[in-house]
Amino acid sequence: MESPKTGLAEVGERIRAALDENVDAAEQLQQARRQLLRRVAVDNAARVRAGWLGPAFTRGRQAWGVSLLLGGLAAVGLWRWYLEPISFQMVAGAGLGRLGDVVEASGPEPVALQFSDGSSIVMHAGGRLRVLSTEANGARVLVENGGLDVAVHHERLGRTAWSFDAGAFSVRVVGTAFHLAYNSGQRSLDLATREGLVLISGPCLTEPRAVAAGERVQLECGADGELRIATDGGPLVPRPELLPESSRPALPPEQTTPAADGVTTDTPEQAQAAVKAADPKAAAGDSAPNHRAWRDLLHTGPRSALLQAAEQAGFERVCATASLKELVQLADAARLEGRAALATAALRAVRQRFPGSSAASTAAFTLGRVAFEQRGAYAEATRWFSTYVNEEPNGPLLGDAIGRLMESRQRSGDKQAARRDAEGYLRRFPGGPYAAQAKRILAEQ
Amino acid sequence: MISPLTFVGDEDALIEALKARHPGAVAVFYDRHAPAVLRTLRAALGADAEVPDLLQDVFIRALDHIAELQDRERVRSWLATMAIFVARAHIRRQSRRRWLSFFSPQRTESDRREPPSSEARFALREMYAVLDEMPVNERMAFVLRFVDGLTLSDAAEACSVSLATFKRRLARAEQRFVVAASKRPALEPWLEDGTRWNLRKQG
Repeated sequence: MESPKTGLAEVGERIRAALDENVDAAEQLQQARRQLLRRVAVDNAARVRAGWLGPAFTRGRQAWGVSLLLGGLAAVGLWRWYLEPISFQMVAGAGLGRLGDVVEASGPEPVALQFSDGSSIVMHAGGRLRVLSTEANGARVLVENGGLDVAVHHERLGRTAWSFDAGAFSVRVVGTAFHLAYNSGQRSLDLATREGLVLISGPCLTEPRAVAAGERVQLECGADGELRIATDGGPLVPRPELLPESSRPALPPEQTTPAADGVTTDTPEQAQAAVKAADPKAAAGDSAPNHRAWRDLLHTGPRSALLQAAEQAGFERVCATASLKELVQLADAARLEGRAALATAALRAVRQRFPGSSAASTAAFTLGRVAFEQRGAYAEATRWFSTYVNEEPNGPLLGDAIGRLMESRQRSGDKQAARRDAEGYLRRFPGGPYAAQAKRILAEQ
Repeated sequence: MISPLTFVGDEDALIEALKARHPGAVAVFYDRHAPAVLRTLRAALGADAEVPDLLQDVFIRALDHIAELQDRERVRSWLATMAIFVARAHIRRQSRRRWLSFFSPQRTESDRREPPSSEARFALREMYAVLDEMPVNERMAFVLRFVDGLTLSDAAEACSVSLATFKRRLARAEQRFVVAASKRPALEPWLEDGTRWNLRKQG
């Protein structure tokens, strides 16, 4: 039988109360969560590498047999292995990764990619990238947005061939470990090298800029063509003297004509001018519509040219005939370019043409994001996030959807519903990324 | 190719996914159990700046030993055991540092905390200074029972000892605490406010 409450139990309560008052538990939970998930992602990347080395090493040992014939075959096999492009896979994913596919860390957890040469990329929450191509001694990666931690493993003889494209910037890896973050909205690159050396080049730079171990640099190629640089965390300052004197065209200014309902759209003339600046063929006067050109630009970009080509071919017709994968890529390109109307059209086409699919539900979620982030249409965003929650009650984006739904309702004035969402979110995700916001909503009168 | 994110499933499915280190499962596991683990760590260690790192260590340890989890109904107490293990190791490291500071004060300069900003903070610091003087097993018994508020049986299970052993440790801890706390003027208000303060008279 438990003893009755004593003075010591009351002292214990006072200790608990003093701890709650003086130490922010929510902050401690969030800090530990971030560190834990990052550590698990990095550990998982290392485990995948160990698995890959095992079978390959065994095959190699078995190939070096006693007879000359087997030895010759083994030599051929080894040479092919040496020349064979590296492959990659998502940690905790199924199967090998495919070139050109979007890899996105759209939830709060980081995502790790492991390459067969032992290199790894850990992408932070909010990041997007594509592995465009691979070679025997490296890969070319397109960073669409967000931050990465990269560790390049120099296993094979000869020069490493790792490079990262981020907007107008290109990062060539000479060393081994660095952190890269690209903000597609601001067109800014933030790079810090931990080991070795990387070289950054881009239209804003006269020559490649080296970033050695221990250094950090931020570069911003403004829409007006101005180059701003910051080093080691200092402020971004214009550096016009580093701009090239060549006839390289300036980046087109992002001009839009606001429509009556607040949706921003590009006029056809402005879009055509943007394409001419980006596409040499268009600038040379080749204005004849090419109905297949948009498919050729899907993987090579630039996004503005892809969208213009799709518009020239008739965007509505393209949405009616494109495959699901092509539609999703078009929608992504439009969203990243800030072309809300085109993104909405492509995503609606996904839902219309592929109803009941997980892609259709994901399109609903993305429609909510476009409405919220690019048009400020919170009531519409509410409808789309609700649609996702109803269609995918156990979906991979559920936490995000409920959090964003809560935010949309709050902003559109439906406080009561926002409170219900906040309570539901905290029950399911007490330490999730929207938990602090949910608590604020509940604390409001 | 979109990565799998939020894990959804019952406790059995979650444990299986944790064995595979599914990142979504790790996040769900953490979200479900971290608040309770944090309470235990804070009870054991007070306002220690390393608590977030130790919280992470508890879950890493849990993932490393997930295959040993026998009774899936007792995940919470299993994690409490992990938390006690991690807290104990931390306390021992801190004791070694304090012992080292006797010979080399400069090397442990960074261990000194900022001056408390309030009476409550000061009393809290004094309280844990009293607990620092206790043997670690008795300290754990005391904080689990009185600060974390566990029942005797749950606290004994978290310490991986029998109920009888736990009660003996707790009794010794109570005696030590009363004697040590009565020598700290800052703790007088906390001790005197108790209306059923029997042990102090016995001390």
